[in-house]
Amino acid sequence: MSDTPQLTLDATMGKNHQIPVAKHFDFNHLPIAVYTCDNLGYITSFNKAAEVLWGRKPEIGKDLWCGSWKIFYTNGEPMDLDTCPMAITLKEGRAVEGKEILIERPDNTRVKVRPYPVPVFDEDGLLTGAINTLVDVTNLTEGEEKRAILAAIVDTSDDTILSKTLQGIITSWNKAAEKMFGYTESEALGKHISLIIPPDRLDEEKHIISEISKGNTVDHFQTIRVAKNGRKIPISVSISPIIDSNGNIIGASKIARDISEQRAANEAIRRYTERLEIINAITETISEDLDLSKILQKVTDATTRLTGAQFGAFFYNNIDANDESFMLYTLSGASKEAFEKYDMPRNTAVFKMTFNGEGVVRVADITKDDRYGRSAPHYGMPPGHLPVVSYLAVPVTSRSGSVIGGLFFGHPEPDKFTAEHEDIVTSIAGQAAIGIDNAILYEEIKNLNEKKDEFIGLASHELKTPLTSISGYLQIISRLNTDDNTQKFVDKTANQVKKLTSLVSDLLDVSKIEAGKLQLAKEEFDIRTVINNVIELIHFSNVSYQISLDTDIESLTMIGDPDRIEQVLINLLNNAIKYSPGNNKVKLLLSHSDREVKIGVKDFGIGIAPDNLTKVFTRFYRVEGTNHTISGLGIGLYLSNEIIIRHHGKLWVESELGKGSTFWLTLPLFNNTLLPEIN
Amino acid sequence: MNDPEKRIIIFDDDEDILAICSYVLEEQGWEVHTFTDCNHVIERVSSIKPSVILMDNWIPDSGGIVATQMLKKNEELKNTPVIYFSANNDIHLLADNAGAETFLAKPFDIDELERIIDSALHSSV
Repeated sequence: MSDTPQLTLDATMGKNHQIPVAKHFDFNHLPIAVYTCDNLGYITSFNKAAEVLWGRKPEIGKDLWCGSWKIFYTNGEPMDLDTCPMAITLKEGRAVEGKEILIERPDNTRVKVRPYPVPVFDEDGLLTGAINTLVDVTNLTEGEEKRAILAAIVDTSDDTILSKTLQGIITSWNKAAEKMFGYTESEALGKHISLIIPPDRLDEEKHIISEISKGNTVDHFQTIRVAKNGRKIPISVSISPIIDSNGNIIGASKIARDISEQRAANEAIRRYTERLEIINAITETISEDLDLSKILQKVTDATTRLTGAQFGAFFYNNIDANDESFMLYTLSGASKEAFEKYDMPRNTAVFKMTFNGEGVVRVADITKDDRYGRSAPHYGMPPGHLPVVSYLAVPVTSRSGSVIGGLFFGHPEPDKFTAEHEDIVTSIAGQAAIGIDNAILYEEIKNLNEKKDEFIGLASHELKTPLTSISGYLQIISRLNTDDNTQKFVDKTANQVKKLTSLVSDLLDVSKIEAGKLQLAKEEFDIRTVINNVIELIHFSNVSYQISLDTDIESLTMIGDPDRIEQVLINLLNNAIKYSPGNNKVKLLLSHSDREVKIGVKDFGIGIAPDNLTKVFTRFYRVEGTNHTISGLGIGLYLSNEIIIRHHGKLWVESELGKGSTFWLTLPLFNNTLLPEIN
Repeated sequence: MNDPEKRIIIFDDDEDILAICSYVLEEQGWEVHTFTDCNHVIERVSSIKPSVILMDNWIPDSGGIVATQMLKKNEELKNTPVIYFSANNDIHLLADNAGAETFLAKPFDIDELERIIDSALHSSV
């Protein structure tokens, strides 16, 4: 304190002048900074508060204008000391008010001050100096600024910001609230918050207030509020308690955000995802499934769900002779019985457009449509019809351009179907058409195949009957006393009849295999005996061929169908002979292990190219490039393979072009699982 | 002159087959009765009393299997051997189950026909 010059106004100020104010007034204990300068600007006195404010002690009579030598404008730009307010007061002899400056202390901290320099004149009116009061406004201004900023934020916020008492009375209401809820500030203030709460959600307010009363905040609470015009607004709201200076909770502040758009966006994303999933599922079904009714049901179900239709149906475009009736195929959202009461939809003006391929029909209210109610006998929907008001019909057009049918959707309320629904159903209909085309094609092929097998079966039977007669008569003729020539020709004819009979039998067998009806009559038999019979039989009709058997086996018992196995061996031997023109040797090989018998038929004929080794077992396949004089239908090896497979055996071929082929087969000797088929 | 035991009924709707069988069997001294359908099978068989029956599969009205079943259920006729013949080998099992004694596949060797009928005749005695 002793270092601080006494700031008393009886002190002589300046070099020549006295300040003519109350003497003995001690400024030193004032809580506000005060200092004086003489008329030249030299500091003549200052109080303690000034020293604290400046952070330094100026030198009396040396420091000019101000106790701080670094001062700035409020925008941060440096200010020359001789332009500071005190300098202006002294230079111009007037008080300066309202100019704020920043002063920097030696420790680099800055304070914002509002100086109030006042000039001091003597009795003659001459300027003798000035007295300056420095008001520290650093904190004062921040508080004001914050309030101003907050007010601006509240005002310009897009979110509703309001406050209310614990009793729910609205105490503030910003512009966004006016916009969101449609009530002006004056309409809302003083009203109860239930003004914007839907009646069924009033309980929420009790819960919120109880949380607030406990000092808790409620964050991001999603709910619905209602605007003045009755519009329901989905909002996300955060509520915090308002606490007075004594720490009492006196109300709540509430920030509410309209989340309609966010909701709508989320909903849109959810819908798109769902649609994508459905479209994916449909595409999968279509690509994997060839079952027409399954495809149609899935497409109908999915599109009905997507459009939000109450019922959907697929109608085939089958117009009968009376130019009426579309065949109902699948239904979704209603039972088939709901339609069975009526005839199929008729070729009315409403339906015709779809089946004529004129495009999509989408009507907000079909009962008000021009095309509706024009056709007898009902002139509209028959009584008891599903209540269709919203109507959407999308043609399903095949690749060929013909309309396969249509997807029809109905809803009892008007205006349910949007352009977006139309687009989605149209694109699904496009996908579905591909699947439907394929399924129809597949069914046609299946039907054709069944018909063909049925035909082969019937034809074979019908062919065998005359063959039986021919063969019978031939046998009778050969019993009659005929000359040698006649006998020779009859034998040759009988031989041809046998070949024909065997071909017919093969055809019959193929049709049986295709129908899964080839039966095996299994029994225990000696495979060696079967081989002996086969060799004898083949030799009988191919006398010039030398058929040798290479084996150590005298007798070998196995289980199987001896007739079918004989058929296979005859076929393999006949092939061996057929494909060895100019050669007269065929070899049979027979061996066995504990579990299976292995038989080989080896020829020295034309052989098979490596590429064709597996093809020879397919139906109707004939070795390419062979002389067409080699006859056959291309079913012998196919049949043989099927018979061996049915015996759980294996048939394969080893061959070299020009050197010959060996057909090998293995058969299990005993396969108990086969036994039950005997019965 | 005919041996009274060598009496046969042939059920077949194909006239040629009937003609062939008749020719062959009559040569062998058989008394041959033919029918192109298998209606009234019990009455016919009861009145003719054959020692062997030759039954076709595909024959109106009921078909050979049903006719055979009827014969085999009849106490008086069940011991008369039935030779079942068909162009369809898969019928073999059905014919066995219906009670037919023998199966003969069409087309057939007439030697085989003679042999089967002969052995049926002797088994029935």
